[in-house]
Amino acid sequence: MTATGWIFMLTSWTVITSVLALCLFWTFKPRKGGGGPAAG
Amino acid sequence: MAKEQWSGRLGVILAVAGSAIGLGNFLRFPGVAAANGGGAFMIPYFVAILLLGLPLMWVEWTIGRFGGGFGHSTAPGAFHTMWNKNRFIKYFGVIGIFGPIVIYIYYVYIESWLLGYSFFALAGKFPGAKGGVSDFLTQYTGGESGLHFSNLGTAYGFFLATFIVNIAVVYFGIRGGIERVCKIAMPLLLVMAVVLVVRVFTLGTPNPAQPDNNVINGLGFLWNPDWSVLMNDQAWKTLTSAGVPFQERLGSLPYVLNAKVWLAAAGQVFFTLSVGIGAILTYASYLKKNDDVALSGLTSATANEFAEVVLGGSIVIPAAFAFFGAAATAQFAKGGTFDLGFLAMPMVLNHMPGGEFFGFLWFFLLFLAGITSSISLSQPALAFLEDEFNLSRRESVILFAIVTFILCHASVLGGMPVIGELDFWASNFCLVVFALVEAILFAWVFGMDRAWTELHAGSDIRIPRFYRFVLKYVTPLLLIVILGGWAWQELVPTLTLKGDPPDVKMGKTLSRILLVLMFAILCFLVWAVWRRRAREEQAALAPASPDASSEGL
Repeated sequence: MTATGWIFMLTSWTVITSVLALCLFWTFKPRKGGGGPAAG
Repeated sequence: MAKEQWSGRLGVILAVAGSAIGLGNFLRFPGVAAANGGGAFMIPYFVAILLLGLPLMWVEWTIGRFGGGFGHSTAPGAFHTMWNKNRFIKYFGVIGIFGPIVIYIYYVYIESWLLGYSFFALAGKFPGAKGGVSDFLTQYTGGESGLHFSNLGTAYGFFLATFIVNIAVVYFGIRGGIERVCKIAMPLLLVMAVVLVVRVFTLGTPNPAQPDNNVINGLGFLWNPDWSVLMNDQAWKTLTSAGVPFQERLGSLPYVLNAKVWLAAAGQVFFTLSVGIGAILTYASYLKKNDDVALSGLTSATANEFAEVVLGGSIVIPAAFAFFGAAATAQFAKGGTFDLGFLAMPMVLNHMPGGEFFGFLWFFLLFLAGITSSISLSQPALAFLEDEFNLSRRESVILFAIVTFILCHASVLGGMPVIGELDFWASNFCLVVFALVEAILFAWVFGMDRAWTELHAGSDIRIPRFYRFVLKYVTPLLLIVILGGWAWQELVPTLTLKGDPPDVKMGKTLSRILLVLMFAILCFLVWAVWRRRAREEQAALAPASPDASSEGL
């Protein structure tokens, strides 16, 4: 695997995983008024 | 009757992610990426996600929630609510019921192969050589009688089981069936995929006599960028040989870009995110008026990307490369989804220590990915029957089960020519047309200001304003280019079945007759519903007749 191959793979993985982590954090973040993922 | 709703945000995100995560993530993506420049493919792929996938995801969630607020969980009603002055728009919405049913009638059959293969893996039934594995699949699907299977009986048994499981899940409704299954299946799928990735990454160099055949080089096969594929090589070479300086050659990049790779990226993004089908629209209709759609849409899209790029790209290609090397893996990748899933993986599993267990994990993972997608495909038709004909869930499911059971036999008995034809029209053509209608309706008819406000109602995030421009101009324009480009290059050969042998022509022609009939029947049903509704409204507005008054007395 070439150096650019590693860069492409690790960058793609990092970007996707970070965005997913942020999205999940915001989704599960407790909100005023008892919101959060369980509240429909 | 009271409209069903999701029990919470997690349920709808998992259901939409389940709808999106399917065979495309684990089989189609690695094949398409490897064949279109590897790491370099990720540039058009990410551009397509940002300019097509995400905007369409938001459009479909928003239209779904908006239509649901007026009691319409399917596209004909939702579209009509958004543009009630136009009497034809509801017929464009028919695609949002037609497409999912068409995909359903072959997808459930392929899903049943996965269930069958998971049991065959556990029983160690796969033959060793490529020819043997290919014969195994041909005989399983009734293509010929032989050593492994003498008739279609085994495949039909697994099809019946898969069909019954699908119907049983949707019978219990949105919350009791679909949501409950997705809440179990999605985490299970994630765990199984991670176990498989760890197993593949620890394969190292399976055959020390061939040190180049290892997992790292397998990852390189998928990720090493091949820039020449991104561009039309010949045009680039002509510019170079003409002595055009590099900067000027870069300036003419738009003219030398290889359109096929960009179209492959757009196609993969469409396919993988399940946008333009109508299933997400229906799922979103079960949200409440002020439930978030912006963050939920982004989360489900990103979860799908995680399953595709991080997990899907790390199983089949690296494993095939480690055992069989570059040439064979390239051949599998070129063969696409079926070759990677049903030929390469059984061969890999035969060589892998503990192959029976990991084979079961692999095929059962794909089965779970398939079932969370197929239940989403059945929901638009069920919702249409419930909303527009006031049928109960039980009545809708029984009617749907009878009709689709009969229709599925076109795939079971017709085999690959029929499956290929249904797949082309439903998940390539209809998908782009439906997405284009949605995009124009959302940004141009409904109006960008109103659409933007609707998208942000109850939202937990603010979408960058840059997306107003993307939603209004870029996404519709890209869809027109994709559709126009396809029509320019492929429409005539596709319609005339150019180059197909006579038996394939026959299968494809019969499939087309079936498709036209199905679309016409659905259009008729929509016409009948709206005519009945118009009469009811007229009757409600008309003054009570003397006869009726006297009867009342």
